[in-house]
Amino acid sequence: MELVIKREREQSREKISFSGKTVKELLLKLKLNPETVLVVRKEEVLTEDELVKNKDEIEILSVVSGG
Amino acid sequence: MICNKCKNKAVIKLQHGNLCKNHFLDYFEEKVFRTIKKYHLIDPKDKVCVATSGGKDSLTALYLTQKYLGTKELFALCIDEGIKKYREKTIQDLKEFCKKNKVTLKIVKAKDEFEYTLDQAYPLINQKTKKKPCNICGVWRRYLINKYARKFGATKLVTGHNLDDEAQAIMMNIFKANTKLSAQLGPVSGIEEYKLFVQRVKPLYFCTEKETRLYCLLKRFKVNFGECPYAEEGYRAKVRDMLNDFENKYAGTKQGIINSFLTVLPLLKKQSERYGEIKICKKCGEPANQEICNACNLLEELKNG
Repeated sequence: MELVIKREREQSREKISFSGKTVKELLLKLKLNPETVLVVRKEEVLTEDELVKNKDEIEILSVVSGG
Repeated sequence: MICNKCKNKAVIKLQHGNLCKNHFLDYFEEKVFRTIKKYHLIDPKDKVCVATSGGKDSLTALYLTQKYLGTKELFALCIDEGIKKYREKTIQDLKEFCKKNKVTLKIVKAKDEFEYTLDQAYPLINQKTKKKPCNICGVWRRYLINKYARKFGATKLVTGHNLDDEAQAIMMNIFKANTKLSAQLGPVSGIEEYKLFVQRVKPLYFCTEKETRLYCLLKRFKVNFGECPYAEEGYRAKVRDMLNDFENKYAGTKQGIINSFLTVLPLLKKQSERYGEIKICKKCGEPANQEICNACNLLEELKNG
């Protein structure tokens, strides 16, 4: 499936192809520690077991302060 | 994932269960209020100052301290170090937040006190001493926050330090054998009561960084998540990443560090009594570890630069 990943801190937006199913698998693919981010879809906070769907726009919010 | 309390959709998985939006907000606020009560962070007679930068932690500390106090007045204190294209934005957000929540905001500019902004001072000091901007900023902020909280009559100074900040500081002090610095940690900072120090207290002491970020998001606080242009991935960042890695593999690691630390903190404080009294800076009259305080030493470096 194809997803759009928006990263708040980097203010970036990229399309990726993803063969997994869950948020947990997505974070693994993006090499992100779940402790350090919040995952949001359409203003809804997603937990790690949540399923992602083709064409989903997923926002990655960094938890760590930026100085 | 569903909430363990009401079966609505969960927004976070915690060690003791999953919580939906409303139950998470209740849990978070109750935890902060419980910390204030358990550690006697705020006394009914206190005049409370909240040190705020406009970031997620200090805004949350400000909002919840105000909620805890109810009708009793407090004020927010912000230090403008003079970092172009960064601090202006966070101060703008902070002004809006304070206006909306009817909080008195006092802003102290480093330039008014030291005649230099951080942007101006850093290259001059760095040339001579190789000091990094965060070293200068840290000294200035601590100095100005304490001085002006006291000048504005505060008897308690609330900071936004969270569980992650504290766990990192504890581990850094262990790695560097800084027992004296560790004795100053805890929900109530400082080793001893001293008339020139406004006692610093940390209502978010048991709140993780992730919980605090989620609280801000769910409360729709307008927070600038841009990075300070001087932010560097230094020693603390390495410790932070290590702890988050551990937390991901072994849930409860950071809380475990805090709990262990709180058990030995009274002993550390007792031991630190031997380190000698706080001095008064010969130049400015503010509290100091040496004859001259760190802020005055920096000024000296600027003048001779």
